[in-house]
Amino acid sequence: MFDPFILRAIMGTFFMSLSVPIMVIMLLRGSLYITPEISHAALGGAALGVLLQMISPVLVNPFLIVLLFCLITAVLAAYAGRSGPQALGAMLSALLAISVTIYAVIRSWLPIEKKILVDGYLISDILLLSIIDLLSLAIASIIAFTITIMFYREFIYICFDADTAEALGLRVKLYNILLFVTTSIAVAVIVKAVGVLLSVTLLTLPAAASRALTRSINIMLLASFIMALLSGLAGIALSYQLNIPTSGAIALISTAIFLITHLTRLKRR
Amino acid sequence: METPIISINKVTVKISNHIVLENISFEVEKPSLLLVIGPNGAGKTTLLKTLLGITRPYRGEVRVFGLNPLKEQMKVRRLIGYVPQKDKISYETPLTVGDVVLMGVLLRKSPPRTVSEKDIEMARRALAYLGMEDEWSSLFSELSGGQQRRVLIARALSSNPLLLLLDEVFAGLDLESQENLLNILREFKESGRTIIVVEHELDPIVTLADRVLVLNRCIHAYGEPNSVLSEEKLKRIYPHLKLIEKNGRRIIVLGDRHV
Repeated sequence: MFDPFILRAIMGTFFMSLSVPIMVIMLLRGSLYITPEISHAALGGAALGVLLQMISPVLVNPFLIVLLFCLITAVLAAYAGRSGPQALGAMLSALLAISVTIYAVIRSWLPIEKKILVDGYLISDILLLSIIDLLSLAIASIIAFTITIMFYREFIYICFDADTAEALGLRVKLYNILLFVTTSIAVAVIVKAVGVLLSVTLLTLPAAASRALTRSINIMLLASFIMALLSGLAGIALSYQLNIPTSGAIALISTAIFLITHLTRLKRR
Repeated sequence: METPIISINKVTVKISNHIVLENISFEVEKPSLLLVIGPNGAGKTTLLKTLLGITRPYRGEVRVFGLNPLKEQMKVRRLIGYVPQKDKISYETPLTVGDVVLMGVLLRKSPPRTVSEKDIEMARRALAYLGMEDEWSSLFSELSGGQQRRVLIARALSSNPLLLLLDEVFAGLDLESQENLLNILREFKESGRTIIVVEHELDPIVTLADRVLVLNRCIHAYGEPNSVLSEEKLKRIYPHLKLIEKNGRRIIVLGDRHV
C-alpha cells in the first residue's frame, strides 16, 4: 500500500482542492487578484504562530495564527475595497509590509530548527503534513467548501448585480464579508499545502482554466475542484518519479492544465 | 382618505457627509407613471434607493404604501420591482436569462434558496410576458441591449410587484427597443400599478408620464408634464437646453447627456 507520507499528501491534496471552488466566485467578482495578497499575510502569521507555539506548545497551532492573519487581511481588504481601488491598493501594501516585517523580525529571534519551520510556509511540502496538519486542513477546507456550496447563488448574485440583490432584500455587505472570510480560510489551506510562493498558481489557475472551459457556473465550480485535485495528484506522482519538490511539481501541472484549456479555447474559436 | 402610494415628507439624504437630496417633499396618490428627470448627480438613483430603504434619510419621513421602508424593509421590498442602470450589471458573470429572472424569484425566499418547479414557472411566466421565453437558456451577456433590458424588467415583474422602479432603462436603446419597452410599461400602468422612471432624457417616456418631477438635489418642479416642462423651468437646471422642431414634434434637448 501507500507510504503514510504519500497517503497524507493525497488526503492533503483532496482538502486543498476543496478550497479551490471559492476562487471561481472571486474570479467572477473581479477580485481574484486579492487572493495572492491574502496569502502573503500568511508569512507573518506563520512566524508569530511558531513563536507562540514555542511559548505554549499545547495551546497554539501555527495554522490557526496563519488563518487569523489571512482573515484580518481579507476583511480589511473588503472594507478598504468599498472606498475604491486606490484605498484597496494602499491597504494591501500596508498589510504586506506589516506581515513581512513580523516575519523578518520574529524569524531573527527563532532557533535554527524553528526558522526551518517558518520557512516551510514559503515553499511548503505536502509530503511533510503531520496528522495535526491534516486535521486542521480537513476542518478548514470542509468549512470553506460547505459555505461555497450553500451560498454560491447569493455570492453570484452579488457579483452580477449587487444593487438589485440589495433591493430584493439580500444583505449584500454581510455576504461580501462571508465571501472574503471563506476565501481567506481557503487561502490559508492552500498556503499550508504548497506554501506562500506557489499558492498563487492554485489560487488563480484552476479558476481561470475552468472559466476558459465552460460557461456554466456550476460546471466551473466542479471543474476547478477537479483540476486542482488532478494537479495535486499528478504533482505528487511527478515529484516521486523525478525526485523534484512536490509543490513545484503541483504548480507545474496546474500551469500545464491552464495552458491546455486556453489552447483548446483558442482552437474552438 | 386612501393611503398614498408614495409619500415623501421633508426628506434630506446625506452620503459621506454630502447632501444628495435636500428637503424634498412629494406624494404619488394613485396608480400612475412618474417620470423623474435631472442632470448627473441630481440624486435620482438615491431617491429610488431611499424608497427601497437601502439609503437612510438624514431627516424626514418616507412612506411606501403607508409603510416605513426602513422599519418594514422586507414588506416594502416585496411590493417593489427594481431595474438598475445598465452599468451596475457585471456582464462578466455568465448567467443565463433563466438564471437572471430566477434571481428575482429566489431572493424573495429565505435561505436555502433551492429552485422549485413553482419558481421556474413564475420566472418563465414573467419572461413570456416580455416575449422572451425562447431565450431562457441564452447567456444574458450575449443579448442585445434592448433584450437585456426586457429580461431585467421580467426579473422585476417576476414577483408581481405593485410598484416598479426603473433607473435609466431607456439609455442607449435603439428606437425599436424603446417602442417595445414603452408598450410594456403602458400595459403595466393600465393594469392599475405604479411606475417611477428615472431618466436623464425626456424622450421617449414623457409621452406616457402622468407626472414629472424635476430633481437636482431639491425639487425644481413637480406636476403634470405640460405644466412642468416649460423652457423657463427646465433652463434652471439644464442651462444648455434647446427646443427643436422635428417632423412637427417639439423636442426638448436637455444638453446634459451621459457620456
